[in-house]
Amino acid sequence: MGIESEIQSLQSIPMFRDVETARLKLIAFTSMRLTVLPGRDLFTQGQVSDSAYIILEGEADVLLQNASGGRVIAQLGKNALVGDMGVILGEPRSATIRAATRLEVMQIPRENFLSLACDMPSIALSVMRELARRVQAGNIRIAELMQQVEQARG
Amino acid sequence: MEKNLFRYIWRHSAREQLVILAIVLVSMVFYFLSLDLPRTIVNDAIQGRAYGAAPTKTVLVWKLSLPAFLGGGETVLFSGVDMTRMQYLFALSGLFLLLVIVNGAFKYVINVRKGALGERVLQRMRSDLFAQLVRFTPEQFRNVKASEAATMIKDEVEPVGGFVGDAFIQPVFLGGQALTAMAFILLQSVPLGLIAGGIVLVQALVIPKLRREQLRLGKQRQLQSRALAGAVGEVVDSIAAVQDAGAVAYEQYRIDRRLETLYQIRFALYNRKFVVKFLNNFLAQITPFLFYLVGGYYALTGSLDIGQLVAVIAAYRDLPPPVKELIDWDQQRMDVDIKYEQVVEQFTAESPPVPLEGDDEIRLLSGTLDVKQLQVVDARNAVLLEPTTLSLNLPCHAVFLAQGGDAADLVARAIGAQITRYAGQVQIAGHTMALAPLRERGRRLGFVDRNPIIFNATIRANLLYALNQRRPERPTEDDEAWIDFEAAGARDAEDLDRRLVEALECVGLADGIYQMGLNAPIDAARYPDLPDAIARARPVVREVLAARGAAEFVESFDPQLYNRNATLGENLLFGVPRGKRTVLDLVTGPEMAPLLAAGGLIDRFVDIGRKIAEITVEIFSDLPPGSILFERFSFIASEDLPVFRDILARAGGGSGEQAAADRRALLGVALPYIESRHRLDLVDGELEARIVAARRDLMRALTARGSKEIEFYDPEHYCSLASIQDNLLFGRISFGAAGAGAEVMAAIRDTSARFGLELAILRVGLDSPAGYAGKLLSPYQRAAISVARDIVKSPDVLVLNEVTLGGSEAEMQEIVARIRARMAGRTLILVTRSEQMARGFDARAVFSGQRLVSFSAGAPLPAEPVSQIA
Repeated sequence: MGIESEIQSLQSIPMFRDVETARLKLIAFTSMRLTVLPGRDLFTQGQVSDSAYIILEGEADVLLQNASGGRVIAQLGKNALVGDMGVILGEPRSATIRAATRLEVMQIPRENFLSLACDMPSIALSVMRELARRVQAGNIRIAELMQQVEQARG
Repeated sequence: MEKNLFRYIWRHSAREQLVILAIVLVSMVFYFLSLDLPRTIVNDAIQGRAYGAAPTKTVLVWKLSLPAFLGGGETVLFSGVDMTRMQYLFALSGLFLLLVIVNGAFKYVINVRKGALGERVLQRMRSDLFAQLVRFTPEQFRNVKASEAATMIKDEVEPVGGFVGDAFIQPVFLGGQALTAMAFILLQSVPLGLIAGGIVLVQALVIPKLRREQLRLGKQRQLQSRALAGAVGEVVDSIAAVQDAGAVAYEQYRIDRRLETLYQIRFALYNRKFVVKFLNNFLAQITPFLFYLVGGYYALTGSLDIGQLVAVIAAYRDLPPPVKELIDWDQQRMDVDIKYEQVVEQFTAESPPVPLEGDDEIRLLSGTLDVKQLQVVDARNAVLLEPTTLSLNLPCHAVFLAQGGDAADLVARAIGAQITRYAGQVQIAGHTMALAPLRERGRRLGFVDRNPIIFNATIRANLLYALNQRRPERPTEDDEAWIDFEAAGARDAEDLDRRLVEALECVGLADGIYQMGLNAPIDAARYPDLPDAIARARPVVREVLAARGAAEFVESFDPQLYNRNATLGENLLFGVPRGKRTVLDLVTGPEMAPLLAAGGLIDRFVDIGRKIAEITVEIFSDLPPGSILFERFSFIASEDLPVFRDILARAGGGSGEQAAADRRALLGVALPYIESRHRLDLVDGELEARIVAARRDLMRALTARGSKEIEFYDPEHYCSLASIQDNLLFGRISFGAAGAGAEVMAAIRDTSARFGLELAILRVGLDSPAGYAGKLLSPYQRAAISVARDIVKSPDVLVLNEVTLGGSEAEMQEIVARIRARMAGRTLILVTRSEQMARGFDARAVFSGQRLVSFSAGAPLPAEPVSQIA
């Protein structure tokens, strides 16, 4: 499987939806393609956020770890973008990603991700747009919850 | 530095000038003898005037006649020999030949001595200028452009060197000649002598006046030329920004305007120059005219005889050349004088330079660090830092938290002696460090800026830079001769490296340097035992990998199989080219090209190269030239992209030579291709099989011929040209497996620790080049090395000015904690913009805008015994 299929995957991710194909090719070309065997970790909580990942094939569990062990809080499937926030903020991994099945991922190293954003305004804009979308979604969710709380009090 | 060129030259070369002058004077005797001899040969020997009718005569009698006022009389020095005319001719001709040789020898000796003298003074001058330059204050440096300073030291003083040899000797020599001729004329006839003297006087007075304007223009020309060099340099340095701004035409216009100004100055200069020349020639010609007229008049009236007139005119012929040369010398003197004055002016600081070395040792371990009423304004008197006062008890670990603005930066710079133009006082343990001798300041005070400075040398040399303190007794090529092992507390080179590794561990770069070591081949001359040790460790790495369940993370080199994690070229050669040649050189070279061409494999590679070039041109075209993505991922350098665009447009067409060059370029793009890494679907099973088959044929053919072009991979032997990692793994890490790199690295570290190879590998890593301005390193590595360099020098006070260490804030916190542990008992000042980083320090100053907003100093740290390195 070559770079072309990876470009298709990129196109289905909201953050990269508006980026031109030639730019997506650049992202794919400068990224690595990795296979993770079932049960192995893609990365673990607390690690340095050195890359963002896109799941091309397979499924993964998101685990939150505490003193008593790990707890699965979500599942990720094809075309999911993982670890992008840690890369942008430069903060350690907030969760562990473990392969539930055989996982094919595209790894975008932090430096590449940041220089792509620096060198290509259209990519930077797409990232901003996606982050703004997430903030907006968060705000709407907060507003909904506030309403629910008030209704419950009322 | 001495402002007067002549005084400078005399001070540094008086003895040699006098020696050469003496040689010149002695040579004159022989010179006049050689001028006189031809007359004797013709008159006495050939025409036989000395012989009359006699067949033999006593010749070559040397007598010394004393003039009448010394009492007269004669002393015979050599009583002569009897010779026939033929013998006499032979003897005199022989003497002439001898004089020719002697004169030549004198000329040779004088020229060599003058040249050497000039070069020595020039060398000294350059060295003095450089010494001035490196002692400038930071503010003075801001006005010096690197390219201009370099031109001044390199080119502008060059003519001064050429002049030094003539500076004193030429005027004495020529002046002597001219005076002799003048005296001779005066002896013949006073009025004619006065005429000649008058003309010479006019030449000597009027012409220099005219030349004054010429000088002014010359000065302007020099300034403009230097400004042009500076402007070109500036455009070159910022070419990315110029191209990015689309301002090429604008810059072209600015340079063209400068060139036009330069032309105008030069044109005016030529005008002046030739007016002076005209006047000179005119004056030279007017004298004979006056001689004929006035001399003729006296001759006709009988107060001068014809013989005297002829002698005067003959003597006058000898007068203009030395005068003319003297004027030329004067011209050269003025030229050189201006150049010298200009350069020295540029290199002279307003304030006296800081001394290099002092008598007293400075320690900054106890007492207080006092900043009193420190104020900084910019060139327009805008306040950058409002009067600031703070005091730290030494030793202490302090943090300056910058909440916007430059105040924290400026205070840190003032403490680190990086700025000197401020009002108020900054003292550490009672010393104003900006005025302290440079050597002491360098030893006791460390300042690392956020833009690290890395030298174009090995990483080791960069780390050891501050230890270059021991002046070797004799000049040597060995750079390590300067290293002060004692100050570093190291016994030998290996021990010193161990200390460097400690410093690298402290800043979190040891792993990076270890990786560099793994990626490099071993210099067997430097580390003779290492290859064998690596070869012994190879099977163990395999075992460790298998034990960790990570055996599949490495794809071994197998002579019978294609390695998908290695390049096309490596797969073809199955080894490393010897000598300085690349895989491309070999594949297109006379030995291998015919072998490969037969199977059509080269054509396949060229096709692959073309596809890669198409994709590269498509996806990298929009990137700015300096992007790191280019450096890391592109098969084609940014400046070569247009070349490849042309190659693709030609599509194999063009002349035979062009087509061959295109094929070579495309081949060069194909050979580094790795299928599992680049994933362009260009290498399939069928091609893999063909490459392996071609590899077998190549190996067989080259081995049969006894060719030494390639060092082949051999499972049983160490490959001296391959990297340590390739030798340890005898294969490549799989690109496609998550965590493969980390797992394999853990196995390598485990094994190398077991074999005691860690330090050896790190030492190889320390040999890696940093590149010009650290270009071969990442920004993090550059920052870490610049901090490690100051840790190695172990200063009493270390200032880290917004240096970013590690890949994340958490990592940086760990690194700062380690640095603090190393700086225990000594002072550390950390400037940061992160509230997170600013926790847990003894003292804390918060800056915002142009001022200090809060300051709290805790109790000083308990003083610990100073480590041995200090």
